[in-house]
Amino acid sequence: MVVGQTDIVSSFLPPFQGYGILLPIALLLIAAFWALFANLLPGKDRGASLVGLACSVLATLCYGFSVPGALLFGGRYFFTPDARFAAVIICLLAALWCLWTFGSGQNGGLGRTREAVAFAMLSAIGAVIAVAATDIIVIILALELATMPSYVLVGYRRYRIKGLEGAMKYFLLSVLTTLIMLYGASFLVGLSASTTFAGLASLSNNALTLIAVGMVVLGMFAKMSAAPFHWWAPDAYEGAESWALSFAAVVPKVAVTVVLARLIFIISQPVPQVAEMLMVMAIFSMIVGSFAALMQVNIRRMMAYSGVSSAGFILLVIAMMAMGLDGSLFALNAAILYVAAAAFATMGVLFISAHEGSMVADLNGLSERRPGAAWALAIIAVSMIGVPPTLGFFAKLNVFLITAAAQQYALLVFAVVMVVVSAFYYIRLIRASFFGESQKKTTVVTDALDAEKEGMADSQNLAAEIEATFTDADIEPATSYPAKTSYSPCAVAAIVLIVVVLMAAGIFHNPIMTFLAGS
Amino acid sequence: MGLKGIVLEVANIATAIACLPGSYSFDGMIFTNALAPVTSWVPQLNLWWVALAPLFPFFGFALLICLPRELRKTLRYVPIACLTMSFFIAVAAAIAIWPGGPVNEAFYTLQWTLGHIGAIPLTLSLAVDSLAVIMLLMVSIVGLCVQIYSLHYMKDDERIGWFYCIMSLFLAAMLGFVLSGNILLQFALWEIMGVCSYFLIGFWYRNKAPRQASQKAFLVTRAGDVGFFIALSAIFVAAQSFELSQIFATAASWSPFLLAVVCLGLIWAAIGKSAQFPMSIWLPDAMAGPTSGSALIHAATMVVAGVFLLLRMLPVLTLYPLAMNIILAVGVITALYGGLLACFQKELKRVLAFSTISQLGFLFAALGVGAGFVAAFHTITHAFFKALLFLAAGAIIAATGTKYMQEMGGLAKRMPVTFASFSIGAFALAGVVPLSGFFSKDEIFKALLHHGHDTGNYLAFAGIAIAGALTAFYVFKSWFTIFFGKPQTEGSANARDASTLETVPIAVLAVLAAVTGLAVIPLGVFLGYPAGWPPLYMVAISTGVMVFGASMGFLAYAYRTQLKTTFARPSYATASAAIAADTYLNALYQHVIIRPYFWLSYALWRLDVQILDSAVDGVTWLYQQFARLSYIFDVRVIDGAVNGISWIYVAKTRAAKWFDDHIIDGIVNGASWSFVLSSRLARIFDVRVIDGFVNGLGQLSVIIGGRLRTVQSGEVQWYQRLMLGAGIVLLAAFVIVFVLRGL
Amino acid sequence: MPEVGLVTALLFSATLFSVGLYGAISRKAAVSILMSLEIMLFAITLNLVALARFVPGAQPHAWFFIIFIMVLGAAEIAIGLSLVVALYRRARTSKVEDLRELKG
Repeated sequence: MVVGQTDIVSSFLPPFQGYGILLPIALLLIAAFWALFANLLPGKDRGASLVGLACSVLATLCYGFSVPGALLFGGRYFFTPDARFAAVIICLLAALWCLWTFGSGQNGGLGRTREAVAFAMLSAIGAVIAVAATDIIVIILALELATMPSYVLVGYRRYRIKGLEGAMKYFLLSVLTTLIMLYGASFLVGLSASTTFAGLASLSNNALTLIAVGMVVLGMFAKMSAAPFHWWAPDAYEGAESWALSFAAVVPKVAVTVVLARLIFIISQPVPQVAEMLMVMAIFSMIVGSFAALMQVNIRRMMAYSGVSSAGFILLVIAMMAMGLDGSLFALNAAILYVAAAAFATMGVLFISAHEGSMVADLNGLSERRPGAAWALAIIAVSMIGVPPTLGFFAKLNVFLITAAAQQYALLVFAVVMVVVSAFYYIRLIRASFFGESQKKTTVVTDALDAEKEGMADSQNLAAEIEATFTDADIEPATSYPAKTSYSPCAVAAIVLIVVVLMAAGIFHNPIMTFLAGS
Repeated sequence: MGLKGIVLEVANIATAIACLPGSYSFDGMIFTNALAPVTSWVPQLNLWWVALAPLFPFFGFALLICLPRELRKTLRYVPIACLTMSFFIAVAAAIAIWPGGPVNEAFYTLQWTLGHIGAIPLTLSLAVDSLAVIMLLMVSIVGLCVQIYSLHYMKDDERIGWFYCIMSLFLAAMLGFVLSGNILLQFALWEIMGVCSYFLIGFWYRNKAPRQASQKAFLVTRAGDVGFFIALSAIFVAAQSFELSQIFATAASWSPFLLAVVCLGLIWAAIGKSAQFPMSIWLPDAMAGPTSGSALIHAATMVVAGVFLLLRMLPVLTLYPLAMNIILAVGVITALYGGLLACFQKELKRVLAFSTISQLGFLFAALGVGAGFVAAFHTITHAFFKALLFLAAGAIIAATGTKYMQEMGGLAKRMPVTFASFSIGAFALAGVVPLSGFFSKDEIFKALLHHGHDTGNYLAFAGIAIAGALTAFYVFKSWFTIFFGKPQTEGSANARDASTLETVPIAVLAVLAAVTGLAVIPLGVFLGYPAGWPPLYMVAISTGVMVFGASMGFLAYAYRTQLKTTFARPSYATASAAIAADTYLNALYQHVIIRPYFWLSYALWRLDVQILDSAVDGVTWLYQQFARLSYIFDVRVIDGAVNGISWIYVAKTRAAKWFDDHIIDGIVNGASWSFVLSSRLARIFDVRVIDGFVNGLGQLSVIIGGRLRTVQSGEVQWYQRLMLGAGIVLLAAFVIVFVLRGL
Repeated sequence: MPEVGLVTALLFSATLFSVGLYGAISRKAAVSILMSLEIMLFAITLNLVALARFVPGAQPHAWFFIIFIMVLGAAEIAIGLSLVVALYRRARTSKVEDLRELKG
């Protein structure tokens, strides 16, 4: 591994290395401050988004042209290739989001978004620091910096009780698990007499260490909405507005996943039992995420459960990595690739939902109204299901390959079954947009439990729907929502870029993996 | 102990009585240096069980605080039982250490070392000496009376359980406070008492007055605690220990500066807690709390804590004459201030509040001349008759439905038992022979008279005498207004005596208020002080003062209507306004402390905003200049380039469109035909085989999904408990598996 | 009186942590829950202090951790309180059991 060069000045020019990799953080910080003072600066909301976009794009390029391997701050910041890849993904997601808000800003009908951009930039800063950190204190602080803005983004519009309620639940559960994580971390710091990952390798394998490690990863499970710690996610996602959620749901998740993967990579040597812990969590998450999403009629709630089931697959891969066989590094990279695929897909769905509405039924007739959006949605959904040649397919393929290589055949079959089950609800998105007809009906079904009040006949209907998946049958009645706002050019550009990423990263899979592995 | 001891004691008392005419000895200082050898007739006792006295009520508190409201209400008898145990412990302690000894010479000490600060041990300790035992008795008796009274007085309040809970904690803290031999422990318990008083005053927190009053009480006493804290630090530096025995042993060798800091800090703390002149503003407002609570904390115990602290630390304070003079001055001023304001109050409870302030001033004056036994004696008698007055006032206010004295009247016939008890308390307060208040007040007069004789300055004595007259004045004025004449409202006409639960405690306190004075000599023996009956000339002086005040009070009552019109005249307007505003003490604090504080924080905020704003303005101006330049660049250069590019683009598009129309479409048509064929085949397979499997899976999925959705109930704490439960189960399972594997 | 050892201190902080945990899952008023979370934070700090005192070599690291924990606590309380205030202004309630609209 190449340690940072002694010439400080040249490390700040491309290719960035050594301390130069801190340049993107400075850029994002500039964008964050611009957005905080946006009231006094020209452009107000759109200016803030534009500066955010510029800085995120520059940051992406900086990371793209950086050299991995810098070990900074006394062993506390290790810029490995997977950290570089994750940083690129995070900055790219932030850039897409800023692009979208630039297009839909104050004059585009979205209202005041300048603080949201500021929060997003700060969250991105926390995320890019966290993914490369190798010190418990830095990880925890950076993760908190990455996730705290998302509490605010969920409850961004203070006149919406649902948003505030979702934010409150997210906050309470997240803070509770953060404190449990801190408690476990305090034991780890005390017992290993150091805070860096290097010190963790010297822990002794006893019950206290196991409990401490368990508590630390419990906190991280909660933040990446793995079952049974996912309860905040459906309520928080449903309460948030789609545009704010499109950032708040993806960037923290990417950060936490990468951090968890790196942590488990280190800690599986002294404490191999984490592998079993992760397998159990993975099974729970896959079950809960796949089955509970079937009954959802709210897009954001469905995305929450989809996130839970992605967490399940990610945990499966990390569990395989923790078993310490050959190719653990490949497993680490596979986890990061999976979460990147899920992140782009979720963001795309939420962008479209921000324009169309909150319910799946609002997507009815999308192919007639806006065929471009319908096809984009189709590609995104297909990526989430895992159909070639999209990125999602390769991500899931990696998962299966790794599971097979570790000879966990029972888990492999289980995972495949879960993929099939989860396909159903993604297909509902496609079906609604292509085969659903917008109708005006008198009864408005606002959420799933109201549907339950109309009797269990609904669930029988759902069974019939799943049966009739490939036919042209009609589905549940639409709400009488018109499309919310028209698609601004930037929104279109953002969605198109997401689709391009998903397809291109899938087709040109090998260069991506080489970049990820650190050429 | 035994029969022989009892007999010996009776003989002691008889001898003392026989010495009645004239002979006495006055000794201002009754406390001995703790290093003096314990005389051989004091047996070595094992009194560890005295530590249980504060622990019983603490157990009552700990039990009640964990319970929900309903269960707390049913278990409100538990604190009463605990306090009864404490009372028995106090009685047993008194018998055990009979015939007592000098104060601060502990019969038994218990120390517990918590740890070390550097080389100095940090200990908690308990010291059982005669003063502590007397105070234990007093606090437990008054506490029991108040708690039994509250059973009926607060019976309609659904939060009565919380009342008993806090009162129990408070009693535990007070009992601990008097037993403590370590000043740090005393500070901790002092703070706990402050917190309990906050809760008790603000008991009915839904109304504005109790809320504000409780905050005010807490903040003012807290301001006094700063002094206590400074004194603690100085004590630690000077004596290298927090133990009272160590403090007394080394006090003579402290540097004058540290001695001054300690004394002034303790005085400041006592002024805050015992509502002396500058910091008395919280006590009248504290009447917004339940009367039985007030009877305990504002008559007998909490306000006396300041006095008790100074009493304990008297060996240190007497080493610094300026401190003693300050105490004396503050005491006299307070006595006059309280007495004066009490004469003009319209509400019964406020009269009692100012009366308490005034009596505490008396206590401070007694301490200021070094008369420790006198202060202790008056503390005890004041506790009894003031608690009696408060409880009786509560009964009267509840029975007549009004708190204003001018709306009462004629209650002597209507509430005879209450009338009798209140009268005993009132006369004791005024100092009528032979009630307890007479004896204790007389001792105070005597002490101050001798101080004046010694120093040649009778100003303090004059002040206290005037205060005594004022006491008698307002007591008798109120007594006449309430009990005689015609009832002024419906409520007063229908007033009846309270139930047994209320009258029995009042009667007990009345008996104690009546006879405690007669026990001055045994009390003196118990506390190691040669007390005697008051000499005749002192009796004459104090009775004269009392009669003068009483007659003025009667006249004020008799000519009340004329007085009302007199005082309504404009020339008295300023004085009336001053009285109404408690002589502007509250307004003074508002202007001197509260307003400047808010002004300062606002000024800092403005400063902050202005610095920020001017920085940002500068940046904005720079940016605008840059934007202008780049606009010019953009319009001239960039647009030219763009125009050129777009022409090329248009030509390219046309060619691409031709290509697309002719060549691509052909391929697509052929592909779609083959696609249609294959999909038809797939569909047949799909409908027959796959659907069967899928239907079954679908049904299963729906059922599981439905079940999982009901778990997500929407209540955040349910989620938290699920999460925690899952986490604990999983962690425990893993640890168990790990341990089993390791075996 | 024996010296307070590592186990005692760890047990003490564990007790405090459990008290805070119990408060966080059983209190109805949102502000009480925030207070319980603060108690948990203190327990963690105490844990670190105990470990720093008794485990050789843990000394500067645990102390740095404590400083940053305080920063974290301040930040999270700031967000929590603003959420509670915003919720109270909009929904007129600050009890978490009243937040039941989002479910399923």
